[in-house]
Amino acid sequence: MLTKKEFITSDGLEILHLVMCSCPDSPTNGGREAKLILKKFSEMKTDIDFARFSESMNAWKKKYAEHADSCLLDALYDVYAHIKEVSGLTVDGISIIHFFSGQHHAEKIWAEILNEHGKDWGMIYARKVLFAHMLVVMRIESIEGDRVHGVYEDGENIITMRNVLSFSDDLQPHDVVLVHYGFVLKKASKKESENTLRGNFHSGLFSETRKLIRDNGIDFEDMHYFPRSLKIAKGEI
Amino acid sequence: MCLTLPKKVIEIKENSVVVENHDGNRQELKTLIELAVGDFVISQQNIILEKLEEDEAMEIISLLDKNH
Repeated sequence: MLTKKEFITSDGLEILHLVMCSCPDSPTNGGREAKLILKKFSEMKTDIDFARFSESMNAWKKKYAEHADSCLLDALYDVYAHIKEVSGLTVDGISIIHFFSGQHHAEKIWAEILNEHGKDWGMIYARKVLFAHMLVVMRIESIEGDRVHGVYEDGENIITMRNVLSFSDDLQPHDVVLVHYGFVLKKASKKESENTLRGNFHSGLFSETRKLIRDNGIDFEDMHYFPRSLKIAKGEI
Repeated sequence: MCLTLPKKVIEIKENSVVVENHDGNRQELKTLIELAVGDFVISQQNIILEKLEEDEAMEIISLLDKNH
C-alpha cells in the first residue's frame, strides 16, 4: 500500500515567503529563522515534502518550547495547520491565497487589534489596519519611483490604495497584483486574482471592513508601521 | 498577529515585564530578550520579541497619534 505524501508546492512556498517578507514584525518574531527556512525552500523551485518542511518548523518550535503558550512561528505554523485542515494533501499557492484573503486570517487580526487597542483606536483606522493585513488584489494606476498607487475593486467597493511598496520592480500601470501589508508581492494571474477575491468575499468581517473604509481609501505612508516597511523595502531588516 | 505597536517597559518583574503603550494601557508580558526600564519594545502573542530604538518607536507613535 502506497503512503501518500503531503506536499507544499513551489508556488505555495513562493507566496508564503513573500507574505512573510511583507510583515513588519516577521524579521523579529522568531520569523528571521522562519524566513530563512522559507527562502531556502522557495528558492529550490520545487515541491517540498511536508514532512521535511514541518521538521524544520518543529525543530524551531521545540527550541522555544518554554513559551509553549504561544508559538512564535504562529504566523507560519498556524497558516500551515489551518491550510492542512482544508486543503488535504497538497498545499499550493491557491491554498495560501485562500488563507491570507479569508475569514480565519481576518478574525485573528481583528482579535489582536481588539486585544491591543480595543476601543482606543478610531474605528476607521482599526479597519484600515485590518484591510492592510489581508491579502488583496490591486490594479495599478500609477508608479512614482518606488511607490505604487492603485485601486482595489470587488464589484461593490472601490478603495484607493496609495504608497504601496513593492518586492517587484517589473511593474506597469494596469498590472493586477497581489498586495499584503503595504507591499506588492507579485503580479497576479487570473486564477490568483479570482481566488483572492473569493477569499475576501467569504469573510463577512472583511466585507464589512471594505465598506467602512471605501470612502477614505488607504494610504500606506500614513500607517504606523510604514517606517518599518520602508526598512524592509531597503533590505535593512 | 504582528501589529508593530511600540510599548515602553515600565517595570521588570522576576518572570515578566510590565509595558505601557502610547494610550497608557498596560500589559504584563513575557520576554525573550534582556530589557531595562525605559526600553521600547514590540510584542506578539504576549511575548516581547524585539527592542526598538527610541527614535523608531517615537516615529511609529507619532503616526499612531496622527491617525486617532
